[in-house]
Amino acid sequence: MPGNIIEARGLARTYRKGPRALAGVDLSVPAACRFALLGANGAGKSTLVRILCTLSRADSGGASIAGLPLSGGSKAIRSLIGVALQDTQLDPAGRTRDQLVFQGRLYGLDRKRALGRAEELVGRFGLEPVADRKARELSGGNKRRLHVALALVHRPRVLFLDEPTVGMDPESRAAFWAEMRRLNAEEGVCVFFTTQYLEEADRHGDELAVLDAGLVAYRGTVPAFAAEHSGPGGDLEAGYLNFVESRRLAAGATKEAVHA
Amino acid sequence: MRNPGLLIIGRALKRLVSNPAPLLSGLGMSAFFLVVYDAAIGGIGFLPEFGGAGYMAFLLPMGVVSLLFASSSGSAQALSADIASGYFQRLALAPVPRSAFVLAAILADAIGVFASSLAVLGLGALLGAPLSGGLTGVLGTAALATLFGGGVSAASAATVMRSGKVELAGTIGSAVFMLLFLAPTFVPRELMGARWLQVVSAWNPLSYLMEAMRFLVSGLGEAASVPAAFAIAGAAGLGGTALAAVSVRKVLN
Ligand SMILES: Nc1ncnc2c1ncn2[C@@H]1O[C@H](COP(=O)(O)OP(=O)(O)OP(=O)(O)O)[C@@H](O)[C@H]1O
Ligand SMILES: [Mg+2]
Repeated sequence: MPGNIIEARGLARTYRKGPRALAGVDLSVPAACRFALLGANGAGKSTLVRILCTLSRADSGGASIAGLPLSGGSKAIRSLIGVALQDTQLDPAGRTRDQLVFQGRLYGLDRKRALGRAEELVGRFGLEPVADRKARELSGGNKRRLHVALALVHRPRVLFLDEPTVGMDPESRAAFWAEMRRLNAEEGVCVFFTTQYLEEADRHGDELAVLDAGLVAYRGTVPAFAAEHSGPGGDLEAGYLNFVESRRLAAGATKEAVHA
Repeated sequence: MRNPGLLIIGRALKRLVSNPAPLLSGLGMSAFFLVVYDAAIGGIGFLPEFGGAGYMAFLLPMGVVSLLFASSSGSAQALSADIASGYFQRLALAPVPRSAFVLAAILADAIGVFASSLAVLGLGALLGAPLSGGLTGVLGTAALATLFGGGVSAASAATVMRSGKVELAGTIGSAVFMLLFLAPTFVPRELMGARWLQVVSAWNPLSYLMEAMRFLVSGLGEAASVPAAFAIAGAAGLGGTALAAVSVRKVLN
């Protein structure tokens, strides 16, 4: 559909020697949206992110990013998206600034522009004190900041961020979300993120989906979800817990009905 | 958009320099074998089967080929490190062909082998090999080592990518090392004591490689060995590289 920057239809994936991680995911994400993907540990969030960003393949189903189909359009898609996966991906022996410069040049910036962009991101993410340190020497939170900064170097139109703020201190988390808000508002970047911190989804998400056992269990706007499931005055966290509990009860009831 | 090929090759070369252990141990082993075998059996070099240029002239190709035992595991080690740290996935997200990262690592190894084989030939000259083939002979020998070494390096990288085990980085190099003892490495085929070894050595690609190097460096043996050796080394280089390029897929799932 026009207007949607991410379209997924029937995405399924079963890991070799593993469980069925996705069981047929349908999902549309509008352009310039901040989208929160929620779900329990093991629900399939990271698997979905890895497929959408071209790193993993789906067994069946298909998806497109900005109208480009995942199969075939991969290289074009890769220059449009910025990705920070759940586990940090850094070159342990590379220095903070050098890695940002290398990343920029890998995406086609010339040396001077890559340097400028690296300096800008070092500043924005408070990495000045560790700009010349090797990644393996950084603290956990600084590794996470560099990991996220690397996703932004080439000014992608869509950001896939899998639990981007884990381990960041409150100040850097606030700065990070302020930057996401700015990118979204000023540059129209779609921010697709997963998180286990529901206040992040509440404050920084416009729309959300809840994955449960590899399927989309809820899809709507953040305020609508909170209103539907948390009762008057409740917040997203209360709503989410109610939602999960009611699904568990429903699943139990179905099981009993089957056994009866 | 600028071509990131040079950038990727630059990173591979930088890593080769920052982890010189494979190259240095290849060189050390090669120098050790040259000195020790010359000391142990160099006295037989006067026999007419050795062509009259002295034993070191005959032995020198062994030194070049034994480089590959260690020197060609650098790319496999570098790729394993990237895979283990997860950085390979970040590279795989860039809008360039994923095989470029593998090809660059293999190219870096090949460049290392080229430089080391020049060093080994220089050492051979110091130890008394006349290098009568001149610059052409030296460069031809280094080119053979580079092509074949690139193949060994690529096969090592493919092994690591397919198995996911860095421990296997040295297996192809070890196989090459064993082949060294099944070839006319220390004595020509006519002087081999057992008939079976002559038969085996006729099937051993290293036999043709070393005989061609012997002709190139010292004018020993027959000129026909040279095109045969280039065909074998070229096939190993191309075949290994193609295998490594398609093995990238096994890294991501
Ligand atoms: N490489 C893999 N091999 C086998 N199974 C896997 C692999 N990666 C994930 N899984 C399994 O697939 C399912 C979905 O995992 P996934 O990582 O997508 O969940 P998630 O929603 O991101 O969880 P979390 O909140 O813990 O990050 C889980 O059961 C997980 O164990
Ligand atoms: Mg996850």
